[in-house]
Amino acid sequence: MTQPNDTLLIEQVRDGDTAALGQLLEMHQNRLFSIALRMVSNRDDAAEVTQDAMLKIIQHIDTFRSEAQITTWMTRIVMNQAITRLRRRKLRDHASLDSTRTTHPDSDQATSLRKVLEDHRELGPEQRVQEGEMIDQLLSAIDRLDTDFRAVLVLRDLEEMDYQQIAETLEIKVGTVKSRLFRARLALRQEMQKIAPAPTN
Amino acid sequence: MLDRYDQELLLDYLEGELDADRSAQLDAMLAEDPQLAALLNEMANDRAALRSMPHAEAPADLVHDVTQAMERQMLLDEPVEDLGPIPLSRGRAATVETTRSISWGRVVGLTGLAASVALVAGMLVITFDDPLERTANELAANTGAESGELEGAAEFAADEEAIESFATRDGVEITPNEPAAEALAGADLPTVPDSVSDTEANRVARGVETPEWPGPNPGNPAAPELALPTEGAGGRLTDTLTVGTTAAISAFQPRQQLVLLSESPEVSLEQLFEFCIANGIPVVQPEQVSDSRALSKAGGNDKLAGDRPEEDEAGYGDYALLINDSQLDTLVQNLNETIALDPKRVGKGSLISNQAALVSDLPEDDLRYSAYGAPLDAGEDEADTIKERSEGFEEQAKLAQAVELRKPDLGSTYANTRNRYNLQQQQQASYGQREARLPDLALNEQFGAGEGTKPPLDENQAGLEKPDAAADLDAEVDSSEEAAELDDQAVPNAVPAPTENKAIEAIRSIDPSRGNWLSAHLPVADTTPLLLHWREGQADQPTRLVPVMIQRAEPERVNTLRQRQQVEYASRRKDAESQGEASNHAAAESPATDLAEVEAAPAETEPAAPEEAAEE
Repeated sequence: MTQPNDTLLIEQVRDGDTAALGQLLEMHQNRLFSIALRMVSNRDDAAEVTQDAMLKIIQHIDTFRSEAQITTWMTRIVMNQAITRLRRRKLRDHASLDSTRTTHPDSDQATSLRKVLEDHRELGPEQRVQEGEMIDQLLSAIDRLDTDFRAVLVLRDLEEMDYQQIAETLEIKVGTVKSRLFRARLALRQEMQKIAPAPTN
Repeated sequence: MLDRYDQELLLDYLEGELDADRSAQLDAMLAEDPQLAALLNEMANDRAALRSMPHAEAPADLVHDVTQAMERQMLLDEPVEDLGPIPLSRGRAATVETTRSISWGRVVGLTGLAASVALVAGMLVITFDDPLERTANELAANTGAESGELEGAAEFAADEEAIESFATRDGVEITPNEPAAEALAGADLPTVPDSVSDTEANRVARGVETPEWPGPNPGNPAAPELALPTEGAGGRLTDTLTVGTTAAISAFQPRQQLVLLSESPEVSLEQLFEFCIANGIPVVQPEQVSDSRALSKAGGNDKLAGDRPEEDEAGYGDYALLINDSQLDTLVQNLNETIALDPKRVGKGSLISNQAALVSDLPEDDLRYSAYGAPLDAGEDEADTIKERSEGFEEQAKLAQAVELRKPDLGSTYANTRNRYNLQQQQQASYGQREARLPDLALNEQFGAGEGTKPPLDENQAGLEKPDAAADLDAEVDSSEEAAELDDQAVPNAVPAPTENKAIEAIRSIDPSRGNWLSAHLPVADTTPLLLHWREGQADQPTRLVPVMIQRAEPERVNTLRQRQQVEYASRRKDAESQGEASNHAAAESPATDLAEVEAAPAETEPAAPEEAAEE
């Protein structure tokens, strides 16, 4: 996952090369934004989370140790930002009477993802509808998961990280990653079951 | 349902990480339990669907926005949420001071190093202006001219009062200050030959490796440890840093404010700014930080790094750096490496040391303005009246005169000594004698001369060899006019010989709570770095040595101060609102509803009345 010229770019950034800084951020912006979007389920919030994460990255890039993967390090930062955002949102939701939050099929994330898929795939009309429905259900289910479950699913399935990388990113043990991942998949299935119960024969 | 199954086995199946044996084991399980098979199948589908989602595209201007925000924060020093703002003063000055910049220096820290290399070529002197003196003069000269000026004056006085309030609230007894100069005059300062002084440029030219700067507290037990004095032992320190333009600002700030003066033709202001920018050090004009009058004159626009401020009559422009601890470390280290060992600078006292202290001179006429209690918006006549009614002023004047008399000895001698001592330490380190300590003849005799031994402490000490490089430089310096000037100024033999500790004690005896320039600007604390600077005045005015001590602001202490200030501010604001006496500016502000707003709110204190000042 680490770009081959990441190390070079980091060195250039540390040497004060602002162009390299911009290049480094641009290289990772889509990935970071996607993680944020999957986590916070809102495009505006995801943009803010990504921006905050980038500022943190800029601030602390001199503390980044080269032996670690820059992608893991950046992911950890954006994930922490997203988790922080979710916790704040949760507090707000608790304080609000209108605390029932679900990912509506027309929600920001669902719309953007559908658009992305439409842009990237040439599907038939029927397939497109099914794909869209599946995405809506998945996103809605993910949005109902606990933050921990959501984080591990995003890192595993979206970022395709291995257990060790997830453990480093979330700063938990590998064994915890495995058990959490299995429970997350199970919880996701249960939520999917609630949203779209399987037809009974 | 799944409790009776090995979840790791199931997970490995879902993740496609089963080997043949375990796969057969699972197949047998699935054959026995169709429900499990269906569940795993659905979970696998979910997984596949999740993985099929492509990355979303970030907004097109995301990175651009980030870089813009970063630059804006760097230049304007906009708030960063994890640092609580600190009350400073009203208006824009508070915006400048009460926030923290994004540390661009962390990103481009090495750029600062590169910029510092540029400083090597020239000679940059960072001079600490006498802020109270200048601001007071400006205030006096412009008293009553404009309402905005009066507000600025009151604001400044409020800052003054805030400082004073900290001291008095903590039970500090304001007592006449012992003339530290007298004690310093008897300091036994070890001498090191001028010839060992070197410059970075010379070292580079000769291919000599620059000795590593020992840094604060090099661990030498003989080095002066400027421990925080206890209360009652010669007074009490001001709470935090008091350097730069406005002591009151420093009292609420975890950062140092330095006033820069570039007097070297070799170092342009642009280079200086480059250094500051590279290290994330905002540069503003001190007036714009400390005095809202200047802000109003400037139309409320803060001049930032790159804007060349107006020069004064002497051709110098002053710049304020808002600098934090880490930046200060960088600055001091770099400048020490570049100019501290310059013989010319040594002679003029431009030594940047981390463990030294001196007192300064101050014209008698300026003392009245720098003393606490004197309303800074008072006219000259009124100030004179206050001065006559205050016994303390006379003592301050005497102290200033005493310091003035001792200036050559205090300045050049001490600076030379400190400089040489530091160089000596570096030489000792390079010789591999970690145990080498302060000048000690017995040690010298024990170790003898030659490679691997302690370097000579004095050229008069027989049997000790100097490094070749130092010897080469020796000849150069000895033959120069500067060397002669240095020798004249140093007058080491004219000073009696008490120990260096006496000097430290003398410095400690300075009572910061006194409120005069000396005490207010010379707090002494552990690991206190000191910047000694020499500023050449106008041709018709005497040269003045302006040493300034920087006290690091300890985070806990600063937090305590913040809390105090918040409580005090909230209380005063409440009182002012209840009495309907809040100023127009304060009334325009929304009430502080949370901690951040309270912290961001300016300190609102009223200038002390003349009568109160006189009593104090």
